[in-house]
Amino acid sequence: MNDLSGVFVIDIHEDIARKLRKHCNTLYTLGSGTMALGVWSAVQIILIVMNTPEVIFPQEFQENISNSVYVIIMLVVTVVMILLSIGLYVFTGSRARAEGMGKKRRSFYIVVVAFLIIVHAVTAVLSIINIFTFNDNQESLTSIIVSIIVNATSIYILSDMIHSAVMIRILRRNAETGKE
Amino acid sequence: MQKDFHYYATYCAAFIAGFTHEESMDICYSAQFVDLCSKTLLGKIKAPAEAATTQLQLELMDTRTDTAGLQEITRIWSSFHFLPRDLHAVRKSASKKYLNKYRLICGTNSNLLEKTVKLAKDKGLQAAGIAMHVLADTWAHSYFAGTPSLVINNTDYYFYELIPEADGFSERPIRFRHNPSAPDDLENSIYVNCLYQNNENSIMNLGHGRAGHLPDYSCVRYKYMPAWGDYSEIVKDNPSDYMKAFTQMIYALKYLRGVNDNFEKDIYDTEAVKPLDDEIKAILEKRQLDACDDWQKLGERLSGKEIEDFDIEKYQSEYMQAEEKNDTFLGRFIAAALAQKSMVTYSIFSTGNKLAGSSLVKKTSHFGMRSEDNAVKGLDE
Repeated sequence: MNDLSGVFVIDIHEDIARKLRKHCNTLYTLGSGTMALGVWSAVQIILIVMNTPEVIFPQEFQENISNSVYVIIMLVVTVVMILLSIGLYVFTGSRARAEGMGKKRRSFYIVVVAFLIIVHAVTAVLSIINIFTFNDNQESLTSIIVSIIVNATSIYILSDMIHSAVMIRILRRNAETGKE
Repeated sequence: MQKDFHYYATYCAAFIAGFTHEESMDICYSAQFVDLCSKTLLGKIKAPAEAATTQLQLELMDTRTDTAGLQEITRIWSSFHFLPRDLHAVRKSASKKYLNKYRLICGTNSNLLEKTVKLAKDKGLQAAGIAMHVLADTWAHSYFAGTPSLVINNTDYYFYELIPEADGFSERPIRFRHNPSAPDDLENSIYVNCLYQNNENSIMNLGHGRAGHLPDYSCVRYKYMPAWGDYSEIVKDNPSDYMKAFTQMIYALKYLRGVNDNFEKDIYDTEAVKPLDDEIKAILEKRQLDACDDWQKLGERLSGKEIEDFDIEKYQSEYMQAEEKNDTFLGRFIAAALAQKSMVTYSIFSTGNKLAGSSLVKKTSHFGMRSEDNAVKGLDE
């Protein structure tokens, strides 16, 4: 009878193995959270389109086209932006989850995560600036503050994801070379 | 563990330990009865509800998870199915609340196991059967606690079955589903488990519910990350553990029979099973959900007698009709169950852990004799 006797011999140090499992678990969890962040980005896009449509379609061009064409263009652009945005988050989230579960390891998604961190950072900074230049014609103060908080949280999640992904690579390399 | 081990394998162990067929039947009946002696059954035969050794699913659904309810659950499950390994375990930076639950994690070869077996000495075959049930379950249910706790008993996606191959083991991810009516699928490693509930004290987080029936299948080997393990990996080799349970039962039963003078932890009567080693290993390794038939055939070959099917109602009318209930089979079972529950509850309470409720100790009588049987009260904090 194959007898494990309660001990499974692994070929890397137990401490490294445990850290590896911890970071894989973190990556898996954060990957799941990142996919949900795509919903927030979709909400943000919709809010921008509703509150400040001139950001997507400048006022001067609206005069040259009929209302229905304008609406169709806005809809199409909005949907495309939402799909792209959600697609980015789902892509990075699913790659992170896959790596967390020990499946194929790819690194391109880390670049995308870094890009998303920059996007969130810029959005957060713009929101902070909005607070100082706040007037009654802008979106409400509450939504600005919410936007700052969510963006800050997103930055934290995405940064932690990069940290975990990097740690996994370092630990695996250490395991292969026998370092602690 | 299931009926295949608690009933038929216990019969085999008792017979190998030297008990007669009739004595072995009483022992294995008692061992199996621990999984069925619920409040509902005791109410039906008008027996004390405090003697319950298990809780049915419907009873658990009705049990409140307030302090008193949790204490009742913990008393039963820790006393009979998840005997704590180390009531004085230490864990760095753990809060008292967490530590109390951590200390209820079941494990083998504990001080409580010694007490359990010694408590059954000279107390009859029913007490022996209860002790064997508790002993066997320490092997199957290791690493889970007999109290509802998400932070102790939860599991996650990191769950792999280890399939034996020619030169080692291959890992196959286990898929859990929540369809209790569908049988577990050994071929594809698809098993039923309890739903994830993020409430710490949810019934779904009691014992090994989050791992389904995996701990109770003798043929399965698996690895997973328990919630309490701080990302360490637990490997469970059920065939090996069940063999240890079997040989330890024989050793314990020989002590209870008077063959050995003492019962000590971590001793296994491997000599007694040598002639049957291959056969028992084959039963344990055979990939099947229920090994009752195989164990029954082995037991009947050993004794040359028929092992009757387990009948839950076998002794009920005797108990209900008797005037002296303590002299009946179930009366003796109930007394032994109460003693076991008292002993474990008091042991837990004496460490300052109130998860199993409070436990009162009878004062020394004026005859100078001290009662070993502590009265158990499920007092609210």
